[in-house]
Amino acid sequence: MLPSPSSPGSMKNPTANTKSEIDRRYQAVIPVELARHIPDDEELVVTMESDMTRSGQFSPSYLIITRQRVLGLEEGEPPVVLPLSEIGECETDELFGGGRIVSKTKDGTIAIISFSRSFVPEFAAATRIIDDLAHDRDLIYPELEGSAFSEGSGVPLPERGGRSPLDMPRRKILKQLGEFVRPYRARIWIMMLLFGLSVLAQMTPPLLSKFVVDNILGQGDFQASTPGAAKLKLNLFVLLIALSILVVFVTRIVANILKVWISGRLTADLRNHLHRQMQRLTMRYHNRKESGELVGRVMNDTSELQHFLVEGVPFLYINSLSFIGIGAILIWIHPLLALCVFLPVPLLLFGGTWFWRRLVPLFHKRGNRNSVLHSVLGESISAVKATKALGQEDRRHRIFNKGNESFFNVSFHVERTFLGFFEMMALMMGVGTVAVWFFGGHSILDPDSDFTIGDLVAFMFFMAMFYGPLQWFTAVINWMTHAFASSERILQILDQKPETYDAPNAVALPEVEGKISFKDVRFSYNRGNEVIKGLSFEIAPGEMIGLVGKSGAGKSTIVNLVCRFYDPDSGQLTIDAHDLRSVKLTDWRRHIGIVMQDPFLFGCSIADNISYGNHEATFEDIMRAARAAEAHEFILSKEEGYDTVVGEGGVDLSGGERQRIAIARAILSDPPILILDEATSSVDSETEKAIQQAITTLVKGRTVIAIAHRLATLRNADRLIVIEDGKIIEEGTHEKLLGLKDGHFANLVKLQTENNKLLSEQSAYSME
Amino acid sequence: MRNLKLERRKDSIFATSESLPEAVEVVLVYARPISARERQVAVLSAKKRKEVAWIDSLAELDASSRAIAEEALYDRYRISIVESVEHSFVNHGHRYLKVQTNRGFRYFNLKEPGKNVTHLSDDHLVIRDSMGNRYEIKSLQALGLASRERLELVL
Repeated sequence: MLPSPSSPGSMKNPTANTKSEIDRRYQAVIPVELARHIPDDEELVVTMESDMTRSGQFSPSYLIITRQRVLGLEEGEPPVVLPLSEIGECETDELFGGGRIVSKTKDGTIAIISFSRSFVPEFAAATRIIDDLAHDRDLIYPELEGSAFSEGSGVPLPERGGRSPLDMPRRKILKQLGEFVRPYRARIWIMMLLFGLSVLAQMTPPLLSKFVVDNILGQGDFQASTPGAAKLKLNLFVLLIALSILVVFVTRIVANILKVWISGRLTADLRNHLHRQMQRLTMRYHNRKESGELVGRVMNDTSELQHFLVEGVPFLYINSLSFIGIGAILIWIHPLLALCVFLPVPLLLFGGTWFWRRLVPLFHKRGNRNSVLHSVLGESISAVKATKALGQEDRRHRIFNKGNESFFNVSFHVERTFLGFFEMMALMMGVGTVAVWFFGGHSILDPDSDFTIGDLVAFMFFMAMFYGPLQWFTAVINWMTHAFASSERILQILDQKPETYDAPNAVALPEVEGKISFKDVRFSYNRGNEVIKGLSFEIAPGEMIGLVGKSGAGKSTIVNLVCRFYDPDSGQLTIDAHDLRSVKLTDWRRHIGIVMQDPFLFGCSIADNISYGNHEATFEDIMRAARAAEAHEFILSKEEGYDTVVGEGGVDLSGGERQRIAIARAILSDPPILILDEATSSVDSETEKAIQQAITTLVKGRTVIAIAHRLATLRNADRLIVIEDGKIIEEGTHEKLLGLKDGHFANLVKLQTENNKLLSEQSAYSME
Repeated sequence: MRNLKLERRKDSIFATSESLPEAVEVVLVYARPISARERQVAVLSAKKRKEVAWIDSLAELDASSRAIAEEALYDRYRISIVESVEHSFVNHGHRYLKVQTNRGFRYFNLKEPGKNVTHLSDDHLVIRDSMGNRYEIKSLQALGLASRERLELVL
């Protein structure tokens, strides 16, 4: 597919040895007329296509990186050519309406290529490559995030790397769902058989009615001559009708019970799989999703699917069988009359499709406006104090009223459309009924016709059975569309690549000394914005390191990398000389204890929260840990003591109390490596003192990484590392850094000391 | 900021004024890029993104500075203006739009209209697609009936 780059006038492509391993987005095909700008003798590293020109028009443009230079090419414009040797720094400038790669040279900043937001990760990765080559670093092709467009059809995707339902035929969805259905095959066959029997049984009464009318009730002579026999015959047929109704009842009950069990079981299985899968997905995936969206997938999408399975699928199956059966019977009784019944069907189906296509977006709109109204109402209630304080009651009411009117308008539109739809359906069916009465009645009156009253009675019964479900058919088809959409969203999660818990030859790590090493580590959360830029440092076993820097410097990111919530984009992170990626993940995480700034407490008792990472701990162990964490006394002050349920739905604890429980949890798990992420940032001084005491107990004999804005809390650190903009700018002991003239750390301490002095002066003044 | 002057050097912008005797490389940002463009512009230092100047209205600047500011702001805030909606559809709950804009044709996916469509007025709205690109409809009325109906289907 890709011609040799050495042939003149050809389309050009990168020539890396392992071309097949390089993401195809690094290997775009360049039009011949632009390729002529690329020197033939230079090795192509990257050819990337953008969707925007430098002037902002949505037209293709191309980024070419060779070993010697970078080019930005677009049709009809002179190329931007920049030798790598002239590049000082290269970065991705993320703009409101897109982005561009800019390079700082001695002559100023030069924009090389522009792109829309759909391509930010791709060009961010290309920026890294340019920067690496310009600074003689090894060429590494960063792993790219999923594309914004479907690989198959080029359709824009709802999320990167996701799937387009347009590329996902329904049969594929069905096939994947079929795997979940497999364990229940036997039950499904039985259910289908029973439903089939019920359909047959349901068709029996109308046929029997025909016979009763024609051969018993309509036969005056027969009744007159043998009244007893007539009555017996009648009773027999009535009994048969009763029997068929009973068969319908029994088969339907059993089939419906099976149906409810199977669909409930299936969705429970799906929810289980979803939950398990979500626990194993990477942090990068979770960062992209709001928790509400994931909850929606597990609960709402599975419910939508279950609803369709419970109601929709049986409806389609039963009524499809009925239509075929009834259609055949009608044709057998009177083909021409059957035509009268069938004639409105295409109109009904077409009309139904046309209406549902309009109704469904209206339903969505109504749902959206309902959500907005709920949101406004919720805010009005929760913010009533602020509203009163600001005197904005009227304004709040106007906002609510606007939303209310908007909801009323769309609701009325929906209901009016709905009513119109059903009345139209009824009218069309009425046409069929009139036609049957007219032609059927005349047939009965025609002496040459053998069409009987019984036939007409049976026809009427069957017509009602035929038309009744028809108006819902298109609704159920639309419902099926939604169920497929839900299934597709569910399968999207199940198809996601989970976190790599263990590489194939993962090393077990039963114990660690605690030596941590960062070697030229680079990392970005969003692939467009590097947060850690070539970090290198070491922590000796048992050493306490303080990470200092302002918000966004990269301190918490370092912690995330140590915990292996993310892997570095490049460079190496080792523990006791093992690359962290080669170590068993569950082993590694067992050796780490974390106390976060805002610790999460699970919805269970305090005792269970403390022992959450260590289920084998006895209550005495739990109490010992609580005492060491200075938490024991406040726990006892709670009415239910250690049994107090906290977390969501439980008792609210103060920041300091939550911190101390988190510390107790960390003490109990007894990890060799401890991470303290702003453990005292949001508590008062007295509580801080208690927490500091607990931390002092906790850190003994462990390798510790501590992050704190209050620099005084890092006084006991063996060494401090000052981070700014993802790089280390200072490193050393407390005393050494304080002694640096115009040192960053020294300035921070000075600033904090002045602030504290000011606060204590103010406090003293207010006490006077 | 008195006598603010902007100068272009390659693709960078440098600012000088009475309080900035030495030229500083800057970026220009709107305070309200969605609801109130063309006024209230912050001039930030390119390196540390600290505000070094404020422009209430671009009319305050001299002609060449104003031209530089307008071009820079256009470059930064490339919101496409929708001229017509060619096609729209909903498939499996996903919304798709094909639109002709002042910058060319676009085909995009729209998620959660409630969150990603900002109604600046009943007639004026800004749509953000699933990747964060923005499209402005200055006037729904001006779009025409056919385009409006296609839009209604997905919003």
